[in-house]
Amino acid sequence: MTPVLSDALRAFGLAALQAVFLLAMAPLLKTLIKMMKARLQNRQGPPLLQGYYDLAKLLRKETVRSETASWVFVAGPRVYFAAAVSATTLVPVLISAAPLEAAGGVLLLVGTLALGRFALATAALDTGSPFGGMGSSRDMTIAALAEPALMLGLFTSGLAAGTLNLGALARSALQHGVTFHPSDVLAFAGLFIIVLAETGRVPVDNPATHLELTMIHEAMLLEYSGPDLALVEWASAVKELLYLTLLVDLFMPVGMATSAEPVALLMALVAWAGKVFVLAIAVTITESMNAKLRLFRVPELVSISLGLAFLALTIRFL
Amino acid sequence: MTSPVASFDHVAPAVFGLALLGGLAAAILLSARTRRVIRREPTWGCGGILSARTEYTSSAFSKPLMMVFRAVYRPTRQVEALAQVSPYFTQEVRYRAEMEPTFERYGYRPLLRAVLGVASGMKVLQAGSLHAYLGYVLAMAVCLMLLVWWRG
Repeated sequence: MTPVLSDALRAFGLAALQAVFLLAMAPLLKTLIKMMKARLQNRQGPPLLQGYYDLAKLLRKETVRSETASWVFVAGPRVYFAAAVSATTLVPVLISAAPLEAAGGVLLLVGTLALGRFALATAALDTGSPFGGMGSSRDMTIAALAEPALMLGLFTSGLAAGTLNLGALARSALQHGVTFHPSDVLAFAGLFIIVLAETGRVPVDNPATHLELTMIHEAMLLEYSGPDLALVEWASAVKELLYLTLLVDLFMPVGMATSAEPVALLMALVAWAGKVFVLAIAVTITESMNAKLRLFRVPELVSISLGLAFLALTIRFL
Repeated sequence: MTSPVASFDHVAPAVFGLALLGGLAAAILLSARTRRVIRREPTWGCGGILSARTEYTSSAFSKPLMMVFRAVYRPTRQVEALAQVSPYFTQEVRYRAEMEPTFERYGYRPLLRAVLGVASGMKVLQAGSLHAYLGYVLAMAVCLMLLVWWRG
C-alpha cells in the first residue's frame, strides 16, 4: 500500500472515531444544560440520559410528512446532519490534531456549517408553512450577522498563530498556554456570544419555547417528525458540542494530548470534559439570567461581538 | 506533533467530500425504515387553510435583513386606504414599497457607465469599415517586420 493511501485511510479511521465520539457525547451535553437550568429554577429536571431516550424514541417513531413536501424537505435534515458530522473531522478534540485537518481549516468549517444551515432553511420553506418560512428567514438573518463575527473572532486566533488550520491553531495555543492576552480575552468574549447565537441559546433564541411566533430554530423543525426530527436534533447537539470544543481548543488548550498514548488520551478526555462542562455552566447561567431578546435587538448583541472581535484583531496588530 | 495526514495534502478536498458523503450515508442509514410507510398529512397551519397566499414570499423572507440594514437599503412603505362613505369602511388599499438600490446606484452604475464610455471611445478604431481593418492588418505586418529587422 502506498504511504499516501495508508495515511488517508488512517486519517479516515480517526475521523470516523472522532465523529462517533462527538455524536455519542452530544445528547449528554444538551441534557446536562437542561438539567442544570432546571436545578437553577428549583425544578427536578430530566435524568442525565434523557437526550438518548428522546433520540431513540424519535428514531423509532413513524414519519409524517406534509402532502406538499418535495425531496428538498427530505434532503434537509440529512444534509444538515452530514454537514455537522463532517465538520467534526476538522476540529481537534482530544489530540492536538484534527483527523482531516489537511483538508482545510476555519473557512472550510464555517462553510460546511453554512451548507447545513442552507439545507435546513430551504427544507423549512418547502412545506409552504408560514412558520417554517418565518423560522428560516430569521435564522438566515442571524446567520448573516453572526458569521462575519465568528470568522473575525477565529481570524484573531489565526493571526496570532499564523495559520487558519484548526489543528495548527490548537497546537500553537497549546504551546503558548493560557496567556490572558487582552486580544484573547476579547476574542473569547466575542466568540462566546456568537456560540450562543449559533446554537440557538437564550438571549437570541429559546430552545424550550412552545410559542411559534418567538421560535427561530424550532420554527424550522415544526413539520418534522420521527427519524427526520431525530437527525436534526442530534446534528444541532453535535454542532453545539463542536462550538464549545472550538472555544476550548483555542482559548483553554491545557491538558490536550500531544500523542496517542492511552494515558495521555485519558487525561485529555478528563480535561476536555471538564472544560466543556465549565463552558456548559457558563451557557446555563447566561440562559437563566437573561430574557430572550426581541428579534431586532439581536443585531445589537451580535454587533457587540463583532466589535469585540474587531478590537481583539486590532490589539493583535499593535 | 505533526499531523498524520500531512502527506496527502494534494487530495485533501476530495477527502473532505468523502467525509461529507460518509455523514450523508450515516444519516440515511439512521433514518432508513424497513416496515412502516410514510404518512402524508396536510401542512399544519393552526387550523387555518394554507394556500399560495399564506406562503412566505421572497420579500417577507428578506424583510428582517432589510430592516437590520435599514441605513443601507432605506426602505420606504406607503399604505393608503381609500374610503368613500366613512374611513371605517375601506374600499381600496394602495400599497407601495420601495427600496433604495444602493449598490446599483453607487456601485454598479458608475462602473457600467465608465466601461461603456471607454468602449464607445474605442469604437472610433472599429467602426465597421473593412478598408480600415485591412489597413490595420497591413500596418501591423509592417510593424512586425520592422521589429524583426531591427532586432535581427
